[in-house]
Amino acid sequence: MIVFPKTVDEAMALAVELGGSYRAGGTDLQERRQHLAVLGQHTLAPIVDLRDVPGLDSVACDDRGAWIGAMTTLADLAAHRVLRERWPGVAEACEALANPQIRAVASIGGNLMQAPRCWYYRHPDYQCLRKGGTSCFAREGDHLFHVCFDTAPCVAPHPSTVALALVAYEAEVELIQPATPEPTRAPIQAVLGADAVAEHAIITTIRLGAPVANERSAYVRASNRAHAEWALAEVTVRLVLDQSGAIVFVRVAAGGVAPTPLRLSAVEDALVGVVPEPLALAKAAALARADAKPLAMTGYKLELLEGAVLEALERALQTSPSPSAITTPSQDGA
Amino acid sequence: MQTTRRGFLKSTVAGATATVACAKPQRQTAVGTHPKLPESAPTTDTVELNTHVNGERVSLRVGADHSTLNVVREQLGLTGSKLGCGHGACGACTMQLDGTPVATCLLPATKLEGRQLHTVEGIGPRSAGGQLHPIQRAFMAEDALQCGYCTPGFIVESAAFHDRFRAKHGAATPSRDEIAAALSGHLCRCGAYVAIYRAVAGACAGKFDDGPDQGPRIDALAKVTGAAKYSVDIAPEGLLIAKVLRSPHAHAKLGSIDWSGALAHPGVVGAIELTRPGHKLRYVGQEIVALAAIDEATAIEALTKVHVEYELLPAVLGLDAPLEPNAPELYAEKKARKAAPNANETPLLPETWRGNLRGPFELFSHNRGRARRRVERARDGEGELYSGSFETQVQLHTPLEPKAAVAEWLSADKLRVHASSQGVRQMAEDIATRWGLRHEDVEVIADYVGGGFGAKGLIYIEMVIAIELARVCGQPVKYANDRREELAVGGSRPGLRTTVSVTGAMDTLPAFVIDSRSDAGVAVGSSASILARINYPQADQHLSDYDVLNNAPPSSPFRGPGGPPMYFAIEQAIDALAITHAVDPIALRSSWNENDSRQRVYDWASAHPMWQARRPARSDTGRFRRGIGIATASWWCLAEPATRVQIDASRDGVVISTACQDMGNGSRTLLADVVADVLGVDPHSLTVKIGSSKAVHGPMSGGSRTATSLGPAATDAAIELRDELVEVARRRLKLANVRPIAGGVEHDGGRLTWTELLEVAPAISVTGKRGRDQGGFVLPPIADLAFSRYLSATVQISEVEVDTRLGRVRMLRSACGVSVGKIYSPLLARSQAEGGLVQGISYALFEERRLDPRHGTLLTGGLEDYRLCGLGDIGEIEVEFVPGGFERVRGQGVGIGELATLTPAATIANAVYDATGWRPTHIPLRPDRVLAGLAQTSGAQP
Ligand SMILES: Cc1cc2nc3c(=O)[nH]c(=O)nc-3n(C[C@H](O)[C@H](O)[C@H](O)COP(=O)(O)OP(=O)(O)OC[C@H]3O[C@@H](n4cnc5c(N)ncnc54)[C@H](O)[C@@H]3O)c2cc1C
Ligand code: SF4
Ligand code: FES
Ligand code: FES
Repeated sequence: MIVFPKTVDEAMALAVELGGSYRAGGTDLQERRQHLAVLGQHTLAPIVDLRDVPGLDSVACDDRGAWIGAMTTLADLAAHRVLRERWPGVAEACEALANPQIRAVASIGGNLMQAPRCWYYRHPDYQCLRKGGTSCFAREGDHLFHVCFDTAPCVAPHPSTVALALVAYEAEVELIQPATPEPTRAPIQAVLGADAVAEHAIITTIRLGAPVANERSAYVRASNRAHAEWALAEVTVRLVLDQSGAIVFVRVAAGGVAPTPLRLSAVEDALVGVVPEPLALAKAAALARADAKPLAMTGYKLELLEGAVLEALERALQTSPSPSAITTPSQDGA
Repeated sequence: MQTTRRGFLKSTVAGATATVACAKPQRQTAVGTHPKLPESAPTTDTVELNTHVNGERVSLRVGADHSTLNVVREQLGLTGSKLGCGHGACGACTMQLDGTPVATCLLPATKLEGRQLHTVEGIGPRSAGGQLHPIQRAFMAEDALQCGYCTPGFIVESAAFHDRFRAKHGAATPSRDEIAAALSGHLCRCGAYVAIYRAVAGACAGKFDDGPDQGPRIDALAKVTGAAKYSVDIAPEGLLIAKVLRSPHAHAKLGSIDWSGALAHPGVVGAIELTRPGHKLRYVGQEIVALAAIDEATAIEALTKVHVEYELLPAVLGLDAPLEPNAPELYAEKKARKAAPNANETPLLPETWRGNLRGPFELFSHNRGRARRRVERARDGEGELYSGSFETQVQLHTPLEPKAAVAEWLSADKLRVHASSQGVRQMAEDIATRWGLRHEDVEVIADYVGGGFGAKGLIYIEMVIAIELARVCGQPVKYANDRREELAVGGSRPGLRTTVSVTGAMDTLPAFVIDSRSDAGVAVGSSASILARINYPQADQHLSDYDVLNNAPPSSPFRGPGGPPMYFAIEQAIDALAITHAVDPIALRSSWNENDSRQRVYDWASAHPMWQARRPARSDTGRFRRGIGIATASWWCLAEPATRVQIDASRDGVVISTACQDMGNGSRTLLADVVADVLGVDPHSLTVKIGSSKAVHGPMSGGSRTATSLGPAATDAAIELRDELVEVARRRLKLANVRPIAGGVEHDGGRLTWTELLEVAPAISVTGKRGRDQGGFVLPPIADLAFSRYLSATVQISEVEVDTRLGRVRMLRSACGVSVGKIYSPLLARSQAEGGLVQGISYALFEERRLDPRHGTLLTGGLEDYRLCGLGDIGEIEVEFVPGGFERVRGQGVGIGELATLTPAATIANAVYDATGWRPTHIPLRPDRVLAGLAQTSGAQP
């Protein structure tokens, strides 16, 4: 069954009433529904297709920040001129993930809300924790590509690359939830975990704070193939240097390693006020392992994480800074 | 494991394959009680939409979950776009939505409302412009395609890239990196990437804005326009779709099957049992029941209503667990052992079994006692010894067109099967025997085949399903594996653990002791160590091969069976030996060699600039370290001497036919090229009819036998035709002094073309034969296959870069010298060799089947998790055919397909050692392995 609501409110009413699933680009949902079909039609929830809901697919930005509609495609975000200039890490993440044919239809909202990419989760024969079962098959079985920060019952890393960049930008998400009539705002991290948001909550907007002047950023993905492979570990770095060349502002976020993207504050703390010499960078990058708790097969990810942090720092330092803008950065948040 | 298919407890009765047909097919009407809804939004199961496809307005009614790909293929009948993976990873389904390429296997058809969709059919001749797109010309001219199954997707994406790029840059040439990034969502299993780079770069640079509408591959036009019909595209009237219920358990006894609910399901027409109650299921994915219904969704739904009872048995996986003292035995009885599937190409010899260990197979040892004694003495310090253990993973064939068949019973005893096939003739014979039909009443057709790589040589169960269900239902039935099924049971190269000890020196022949353990799941037949014997025939060798039986799906022959794994071990061992002796590894091998073709490639490699200019080992000490490695390999030259090629010539043209097929290897083109060469005409002026079992005896496409079997037979036929036409000129036209020239004949009064002669000649039919090599074969042909007295040989030189920080091994360049004698169709031969190399690189660096360690369930069930190499991963590749040799082979040319895939893993490993001092013992070279390896040699750096 499928419905095409015309407004966000109608979408939510329908989703609640029917027990439906939202469909944005469908690149994640449709793949999962193919597996569900194997189990019989009764397992397929009605689709609440957001196709005809207007106003969700545009980007507005000014010096106070950026408002990104949840249905904006990743390709549009990657190509967005102002975003590229002022919030470069976000555009870079959107460009680095998946492949062009997916980015052309995948939405940012769907990217944040996509289901785990765990190979047990995506197998029709397994009913794991995240599918209402009682055990995590990856933990007990093959978890070569799973987390190295074992902090939750489910050991699948959060799949969203965009989320990682948004964490580095301390973005906020606007959503409408069934229980509360008014739209709510939440920090990005609060909507990412398993069951973090209420069922049928709908993301409408992603809000980025005011752009930071002279920002340098880099996104690094550790993977085996050159392109179009899911990251083993991925890192976004943003930093600003002062006149003397010391780091005055830095954000480091990591994905592919934990149940939700991590802000690596130990690394950040070690870098503030520091002139980025190779040794200082290496020492700071080593702190990426702080509090890690690898699984039996994922110890290697710590090394990749440390390497990717170092690489991202080095690359960010080589990029040219974003144009000076209105705000002055401070480490306590822009 | 919690499986989602229910099981009932009932006593079991083993019986003959039960088959049941239910009532007439009915269109299923979907009904359901919908909850109360806001009035503004009526809910529906299907949606009406208006859209434009290839410029034409169309109105469609689509289901909520229908993909755009499905609608375009099934409702609009545009079958150019292909289903490769179904989850956005391969690009075979790519179409342009408002000019932007998108993955349509995931694009809900409802999104098409008010949009403009272009499929491959809308690019090129049938497009508004009516002209081929420069990208299509480029793909043809550069031979950027083999089987062609990925080609429509590549064309649609590259055309968009081309148009964008030129709008921005004019006629500049895009860099390799730009091309790789733009096409990063496309996978080509045949490995046509080298030519794809050339084609895209050339087209952007304006090289193909005009030019011929054809290329050296004579069926290229059909492939770049989406006109080529593969088995999955065949849809006769009344077609039913079959689906299979597979075992979710790695080891179980099948109890009862209750399919009454499924048969009562509206739209289901019939079902068959594939495993009988009481019999054992030995791996996850083993076929239990198949049913046919009016469409795929109905068949899938109906399968959930089949209830099966299982009696679970303990399962074993891998190479170690099956050999533990209390391990469950996979094949306890003699009869079952005899029926174990064969993972090899050659017939099985009887072997000893101890529990789950079969072997040793030692037939090809040579001075085995002496080999052991020499290795023992070296171990005691007399001479240099290298000993090591190497492990290679299970590799999956996963051709982009899965195993697929469409079966139609034309009458009770007359059958036509379209099947994705590497052996139409052999399959037709097997079908005739199995179903008790007369040979002439069975036709197997494979016009276009989307890759095979060894798994589609003999009749496979997916065909049996289609044929048997079509018989039961009295309607045509199609069965095709989905990607997960294809990856699970579609075929695999066995994993191999090889322990090798070797001693030897310059001018002192080596002695090998090799023990190999093959993981072919429930299949047997490993004889991998024989490759040490063919590559170093004079050496002393004690060779032992074992099969370790376990509860994984059966392996099957895969391009160069045993080759990449065994050469990975022995070519590293020789490399290590050369390093201990501080001698050039090519010189060391040369000093042992007595074979001409090997010598030709050794000499070629020694003189190659890459080898000449190599730096001392471990020259780099920073984060990125480059190194160069070489490896060599030999392969058999196989031929099918019974091969025939028929030519029918008349005023309507020249038609070449034989019962072979073209799975991308280029048989169709080779036939045209060879005949065109004899007659001195354009190959495109000839018609080639292959892909039907009804023609004269053609070879199977396997064992690299195609070129060497077809070439001489086609030459023979063409010469006969030429001579007959010369006779026509002499006798019928009474011309004097007639001699053949290119394109026709010359006589005292002038010239006549073949076409002019055919106008006056009676219809001519001639048949050419492959026949025997001069001096015969090593053995008389077994199952139509003969081993020639020659071996083909290759040396590959590779340069890699190891990123010691992120653990990546990147291919920079490889050069590959190949000795196979005469080259029949040069550009296509190069494509074959490049494809083999690419597959070898993919195996060495990325591909790996992973099963759940407890349940044996396939985890790498999609092309995201089962990683094939992409355009960005191959580095630069150079292939050189080193001429000469093979004088006594009919036609003087032998096969290439397998040879080129044997060396990459070994070369890459040797290059990694050269770069870092770490010798890889396991592939694929995943970052975690690389980092762990470097840590051992303290080579890792943050
Ligand atoms: C081959 C391949 C490789 C990929 N690689 C990467 C990668 O490297 N990194 C990465 O991050 N992603 C990757 N992806 C995932 C891809 O980015 C996501 O599938 C895509 O972003 C999902 O967006 P969509 O609009 O298609 O979502 P949909 O499939 O439509 O929806 C996804 C989920 O989000 C929910 N949803 C959608 N919109 C909203 C909303 N506004 N509010 C609330 N819920 C909503 C849906 O109900 C559904 O559960 C890859 C995908 C493929 C196929
Ligand atoms: S890691 Fe999470 S998604 Fe994967 S099996 Fe465990 S619970 Fe399920
Ligand atoms: S079939 Fe759509 S990407 Fe593979
Ligand atoms: S030609 Fe690309 S898959 Fe065969």
